[in-house]
Amino acid sequence: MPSPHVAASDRTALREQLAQLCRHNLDAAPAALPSGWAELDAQLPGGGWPVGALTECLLDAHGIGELSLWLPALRAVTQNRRYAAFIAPPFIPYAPALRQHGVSLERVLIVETETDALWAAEQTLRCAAFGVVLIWPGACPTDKQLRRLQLAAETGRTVGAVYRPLSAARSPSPAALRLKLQADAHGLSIVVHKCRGGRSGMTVRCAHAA
Amino acid sequence: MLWLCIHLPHWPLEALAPPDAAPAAVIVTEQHQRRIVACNTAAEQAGLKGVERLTTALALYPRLRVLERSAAAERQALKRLAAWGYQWSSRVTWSQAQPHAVDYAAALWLEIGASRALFNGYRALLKQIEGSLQHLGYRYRLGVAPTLEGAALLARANRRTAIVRLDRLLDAIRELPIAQLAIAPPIAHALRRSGVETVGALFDLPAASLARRFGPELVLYLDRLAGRASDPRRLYRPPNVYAARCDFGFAVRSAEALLFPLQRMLHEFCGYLRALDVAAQHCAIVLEHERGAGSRIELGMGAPNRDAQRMLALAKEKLLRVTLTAEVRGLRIEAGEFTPPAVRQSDLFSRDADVADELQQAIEKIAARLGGDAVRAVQPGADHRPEQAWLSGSVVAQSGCAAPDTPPPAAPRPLWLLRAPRRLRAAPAIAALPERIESGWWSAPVTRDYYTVRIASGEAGWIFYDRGDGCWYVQGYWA
Repeated sequence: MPSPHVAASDRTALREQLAQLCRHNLDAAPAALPSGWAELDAQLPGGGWPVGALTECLLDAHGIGELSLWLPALRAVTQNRRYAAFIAPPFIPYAPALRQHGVSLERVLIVETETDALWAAEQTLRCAAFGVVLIWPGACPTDKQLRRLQLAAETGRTVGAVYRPLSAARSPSPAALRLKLQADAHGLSIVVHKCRGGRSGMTVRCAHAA
Repeated sequence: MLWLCIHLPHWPLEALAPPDAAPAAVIVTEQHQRRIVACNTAAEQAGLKGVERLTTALALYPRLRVLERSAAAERQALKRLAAWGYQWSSRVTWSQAQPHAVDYAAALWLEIGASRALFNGYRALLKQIEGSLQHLGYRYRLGVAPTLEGAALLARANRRTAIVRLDRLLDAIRELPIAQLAIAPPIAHALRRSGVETVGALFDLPAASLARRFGPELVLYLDRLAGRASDPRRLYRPPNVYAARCDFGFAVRSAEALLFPLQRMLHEFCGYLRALDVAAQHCAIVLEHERGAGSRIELGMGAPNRDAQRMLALAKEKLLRVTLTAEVRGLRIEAGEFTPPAVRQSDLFSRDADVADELQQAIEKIAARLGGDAVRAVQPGADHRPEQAWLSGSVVAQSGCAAPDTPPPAAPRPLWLLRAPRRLRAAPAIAALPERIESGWWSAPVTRDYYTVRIASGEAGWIFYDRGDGCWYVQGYWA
């Protein structure tokens, strides 16, 4: 219990402590990049993709809307003078389609690699010039490797998206956000599997952009 | 004139660049006796400081790495250091130990009187030079005086006071013992025996009798030291093509062991670039072997560069992936094409410039490890055939080619394109009108009807019916 007669030096120390606590609270509100999907943003703490963190997209099929999900963010980032990277994508990100959706192609980079996807992902995530980095890690990344990516994203204040199979949902991960993606009759159905600082278990639907 | 002398007491050792971790010593053979002339810090810590005879040293520390002194390696290293020093002064000269010298130290002199205005006074200049010198990792002593020999004497004596005026020089060196002077040991011995212990006492003797007793060289040396006689030296001229080498006195078997000398050489190279106010976009690192041409590592940079740390990061990526086929005996850095340095905007756009710089570095690093083709940019292409309607180019090789102004296709396109269309076994169920694409009559003509269908488990595929071969293909996914 601090007594009412605190020495001046103690008082400044207390004041500093208080200021630190306030700062801590400010830090606690996570920075976010709006996903562009109103329903999804409403579920995410901060109202969008967590910045300086990893988001896992868990899915078993290609072509169910896993890229459309990120299109508004890609558009916002590339039009805002930052870069987007595709690390080891399974197919060719098709330039005419990206352009039809308003993505600035001169700010899109594709890294083609079969063996060094995680390393390349780390380099791009760490670089503040990138806004969004979409990663197809190839082999199943270990917990340690994901932690490295998470750390790199924190350093560069970037948004990292890692695409993994649905079976990976069973193993723990340092990612701030984990989404299970599945196709349904109307488009994409998203189950929030894990959400740091928010609730999990909700289902969100996104209609196909195309 | 104001000379800065960089005295390098351990030059015979440092020129051969052995790793610091293990004790190492350099020897010369004189009259069938092998004498240690320099040893590294690890050897000093092992108790070999001041030990002259090799047999004694080996008795104290049997695993000592013993290297033969190489005058050629010392000259090469001095030349590299002179190129580095040229960034602060256009008058650079050096001296190297002669055979059978007492002291195998080397020295580099920079004339800083003319440069001090340019670098905000000589204190700021010295600070800058020392900062850069520490990156190189040589052990050094500095001396500043109006004469070459005066600066060298102050450096040898480790006096860190800068003497700017000639009339103050004699006062400053009077008390120094004559052993610090660069005179032949027999002369110094004879002088000491006749009671001349300090530099001051030597200067008090009449020059004529000194010349008669010890020869005119001693008097000339004293005159040059005091600034009474001119001291012409050959000045260093930077070559147009950079070619620096470092010969090791031993064989290197791992790429990691090359990083230390390489770092030093890159710092010296960047000093040379700064001296000429240019930057390099490309240079080659050659690993020299006992025989053969040596392994060449090409270092390509995204933008003209003269940042040693950045070059080292790139070189590291490449070097650690090289399998050394033979022992490495030396390193070479070669560069012949230089460009004006990229001038960075300072305040207004500095954040943008920083970010662009960081991006460039990240791309360079990835390209260095995965190859220049791995980092690609995409563009729409001017063709109606979907597989031709996009272009991809290496970001590294690209030199500012603008995207062609292609009108986007009217119909929507899928986000994923397969690298090659995949043939479907059965005709899918179609419930929409097709988009007909006919094009490419000049090379590979196609006539295709495109549809969007759900293939399986909700995947939306972009498929076409090829009217040429009558088959169905999937070419993309609506992702």
